[in-house]
Amino acid sequence: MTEATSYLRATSVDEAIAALASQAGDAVIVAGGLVVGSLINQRLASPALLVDITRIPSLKKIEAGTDGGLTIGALTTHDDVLRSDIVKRTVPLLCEIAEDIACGRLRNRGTLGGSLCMMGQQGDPATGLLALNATIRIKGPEGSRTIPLEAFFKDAFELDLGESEILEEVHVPAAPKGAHWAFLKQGPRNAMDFTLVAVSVVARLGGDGRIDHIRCGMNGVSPTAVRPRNAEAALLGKSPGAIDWNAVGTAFDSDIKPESDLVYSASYKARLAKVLLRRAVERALAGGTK
Amino acid sequence: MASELDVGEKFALDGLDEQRHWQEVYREIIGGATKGSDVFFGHSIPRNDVLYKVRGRAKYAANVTMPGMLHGVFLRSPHPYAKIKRVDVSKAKTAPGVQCVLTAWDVREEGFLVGSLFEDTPVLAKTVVRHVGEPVVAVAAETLAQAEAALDLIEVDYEPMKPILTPQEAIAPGAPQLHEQGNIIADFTKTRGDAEAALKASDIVVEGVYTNDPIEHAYLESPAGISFWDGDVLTLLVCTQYPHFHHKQLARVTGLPMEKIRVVQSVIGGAFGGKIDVTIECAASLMTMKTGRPVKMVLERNEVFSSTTKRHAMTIRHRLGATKDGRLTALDMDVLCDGGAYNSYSLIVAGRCIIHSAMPYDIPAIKTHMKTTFTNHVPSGAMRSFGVIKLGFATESQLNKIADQLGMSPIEIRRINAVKSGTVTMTGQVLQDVGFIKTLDALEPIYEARRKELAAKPQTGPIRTGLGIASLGYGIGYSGVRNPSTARIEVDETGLVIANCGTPDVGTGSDMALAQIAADAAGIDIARIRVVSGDSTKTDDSGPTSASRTTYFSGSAARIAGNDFNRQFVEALAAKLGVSKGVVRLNDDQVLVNNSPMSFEEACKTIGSATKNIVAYGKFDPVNQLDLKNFEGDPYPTYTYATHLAEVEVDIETGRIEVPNYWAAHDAGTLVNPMGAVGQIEGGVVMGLGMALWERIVRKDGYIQNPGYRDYLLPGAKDTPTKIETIFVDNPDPTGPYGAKGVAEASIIPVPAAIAAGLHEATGVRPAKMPMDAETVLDLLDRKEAAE
Ligand SMILES: Cc1cc2nc3c(=O)[nH]c(=O)nc-3n(C[C@H](O)[C@H](O)[C@H](O)COP(=O)(O)OP(=O)(O)OC[C@H]3O[C@@H](n4cnc5c(N)ncnc54)[C@H](O)[C@@H]3O)c2cc1C
Repeated sequence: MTEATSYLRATSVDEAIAALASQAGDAVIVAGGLVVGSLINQRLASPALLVDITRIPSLKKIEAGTDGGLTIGALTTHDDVLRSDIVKRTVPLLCEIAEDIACGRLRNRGTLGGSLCMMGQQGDPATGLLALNATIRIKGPEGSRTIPLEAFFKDAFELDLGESEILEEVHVPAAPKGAHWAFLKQGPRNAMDFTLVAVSVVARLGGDGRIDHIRCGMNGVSPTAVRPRNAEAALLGKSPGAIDWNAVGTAFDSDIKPESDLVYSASYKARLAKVLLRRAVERALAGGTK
Repeated sequence: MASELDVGEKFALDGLDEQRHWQEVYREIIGGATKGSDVFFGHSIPRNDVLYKVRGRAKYAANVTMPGMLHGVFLRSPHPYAKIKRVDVSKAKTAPGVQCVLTAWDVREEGFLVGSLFEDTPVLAKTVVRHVGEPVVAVAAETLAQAEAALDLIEVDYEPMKPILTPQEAIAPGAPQLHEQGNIIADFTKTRGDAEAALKASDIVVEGVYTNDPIEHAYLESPAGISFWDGDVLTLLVCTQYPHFHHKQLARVTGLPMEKIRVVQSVIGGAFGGKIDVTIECAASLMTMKTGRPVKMVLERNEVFSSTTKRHAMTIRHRLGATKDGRLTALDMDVLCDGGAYNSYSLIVAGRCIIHSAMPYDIPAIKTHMKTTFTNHVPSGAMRSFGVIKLGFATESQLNKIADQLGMSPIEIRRINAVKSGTVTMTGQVLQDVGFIKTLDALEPIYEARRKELAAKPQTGPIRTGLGIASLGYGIGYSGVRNPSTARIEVDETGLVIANCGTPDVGTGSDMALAQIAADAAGIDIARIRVVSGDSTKTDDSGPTSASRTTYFSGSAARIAGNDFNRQFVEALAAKLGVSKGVVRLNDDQVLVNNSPMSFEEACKTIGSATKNIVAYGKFDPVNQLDLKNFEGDPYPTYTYATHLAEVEVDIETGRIEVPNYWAAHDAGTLVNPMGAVGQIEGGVVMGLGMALWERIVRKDGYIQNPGYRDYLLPGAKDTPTKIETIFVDNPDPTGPYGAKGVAEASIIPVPAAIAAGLHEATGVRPAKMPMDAETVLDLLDRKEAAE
């Protein structure tokens, strides 16, 4: 049973920011509402004000940039991403990720912004965006700022997002020429569920047959979505046939901090993550999925 | 309100108005489904309740509102085991909106304890709480929020005690006794021959210890109900498998005479054995009596998890012996079972498990022992198959082990040991019309062909594939006690036929099956028949809808009543027309008088007010007696059999299991409604898959850690096999209605063992613990690798 709370349907980013500022931390943005709604229903949150941003047109866009990259508004739903020709053309990895999120109903409602601004598990798109070196633009009472997505995820319950700030859009630069990508995930079961572990890899082989570019994004193995930088370093410069996966695994262990949940232990998650990372890297190096 | 509840108006949100249109649509659907045939039996007729359910218009108890209705909630125990020192509700009583605060001291002495088999469970706890989630106080207020707010104002002083968390602790010397009867719920032993000697003499003996975690019924609809005064009749509309039980119980709890109580089953969103005990019925009714107002109570999902019955956790020690040519020689089984804090259906589960120890095999020497104890866990109770799924996991896995060790096909070893017509079971029952071997015969070609196909595929990479076989034999009806079912068929002057059937439809479509049987037996169109079931004042107590008994028992009663209806109808019409009854016939919805046709409506009009003298009655009451001390006798009138084949894919690097293909061959007698029967099998397979691979109540120190669907993993559509092929073998049961017998529960039983066998064929590991989740499987693979 949802408790009645004040509700504002903002029509501009500035109106939403002003509303957030007026509540000194006791207001919550609602995009698709999948997470917010469930928290309120479970009585884990009872904000004084809900700021609905779904009617702010400027947040709902997908635009190809002049640099070969892409700008995606925070309100873009997973379904929008999935169906976008522009995304398909420029960063098909994001379509592939969107395709397997939960189910049709949730893809219709769930937004990219909501999935990035979720505390703890940031969802699957974050892994792809980390691997693609995305930046995000955030607007608050003091104006706009742009930061790398990686810097946005600070800790389990901490984002680099002020109480009165809004994530406006995500910018995805063009992937390095000749790079391939892969995405793999495993849930606790196949049915609609939060993902247990997901991994995205963007990799490229140089002219000498060695890896000259690799970026990965993972979730499920740390308090936030992460880039396993040590594992990346262990892979860089190797030729696909000569990767020492034990060494990569050891490096990877220092990248992650998995936690046991009621279903799976931390050690299982770490192991699963390594398997998925290896498979994704191999898949990307073999030319990617699409 | 009274009229709203009569003859089926309860089904759709807008009552009769809404139903009329859909009933018309439904008539056409039936017409299409039975085209070209003059019987309804054996046709895939869609159930009429789906018309409301798929459109979101079915009227569940939670959807019902009434003028002046209050909302009731429970305050529940936060301790697994504690003395209650003081309950102070004074602040809650004066809280805004609160109309009633009910404590144990408001419940009359004679009605203080309730329960399905034994009256051992307080309506509200008074001196002691025995599990987390046990109700202590009930509050009714104008709004749900007010009722919930009032709970925070109640002060209860507990003195926590050290809980008993395992059956081992419960039987340890010096353990505190949880009940006056001690800590033992059931302690059954059955022997046949000398199992120990026979094991010694066996060429091969396999041993194993099989365990499972408790699981949740996971019905979609939470227990819910609304109680109210209908004139001077205390009426309860509630989602239950057994309205008559609550009726009797409420008479004792409230002190009202039987005729001043009515319990009506609301549209029900699944049950599986989980809606057979008391949840909200007594508290809601008592609060209606105190306030005079309707009281609705709907459990929240976390309450469902933490306070309603669960499937028993068992530890099964199992030894199975065989000769080197695969003939089973002896079975020794010892089961220790966690019954939780109250009796519920534990005794029935234990009895059924003992009887099914060897099923479906003919084993000459048997020793089987089962002990169920109280613990401070939420009570364990009835759930689809009454425990037999766990025996199936053990026995079928053991049999597969023997087959592997002997290099024998899993089908062949079953054929050698199968019960057949004429086999004498360990209780001394001579089995009749056994179709078990037919299920093996049906699957064998599929199994062999698929084996060849898979063998042709190279098993490289991380995905390994295997096939697994498991079987079942399951008794229909209560174990070893008579459990009659009755039906009454009436007609009015307009031609509306009402079939009152005792066992309620719990979402399986049993009303449909009963209507099919009754229509054929009566010789009338099924569209005329409205089945009224689940109303404690309209039907005889025909027992609960459980134990796969509805089609067989109530179906037989419906058939007898249908035949009786035909006879009475013909006699009434003949009397009215002054002709001899020999010249009147009612067949295929056609009345013939001296060979000239008359419509059924016309005939009813002719009979006029004398239609009310037509009260056709059918009772089915097979003699089943079993001595529960030595387990001698005929526990069930008939048994259903099946063999399942699972194709299992395992990712050996992650432990993840997929089941892409599944085949189920069943002997269910003749099918009343094939579409419904297939639905039952598929549902059972998916439910079994859940128990086999994911579902687990996680408990710690007496607390349930995962009281919600986020952490309790049910299989969803993407987890079900791409293909579930159901095969029904041709094996009519002459004792059932038109050859039918039950099918509902059994399909769950062999699933875990079939999957375990497939996993073994794929990887060489043998799980003995459910669920076989990815981490468990990976552990097994690691251990196997370490051992090699
Ligand atoms: C059953 C289920 C299954 C799921 N399965 C998957 C899955 O397979 N893969 C996956 O990736 N995800 C999955 N999810 C998560 C889903 O992707 C996200 O829930 C969804 O994208 C969230 O979007 P939303 O718009 O509904 O978020 P909301 O609930 O509206 O918002 C989530 C949080 O972000 C904040 N927020 C939203 N927008 C902004 C903004 N523009 N600026 C600042 N803060 C903002 C909100 O205040 C809130 O705190 C699942 C969720 C559920 C419930």
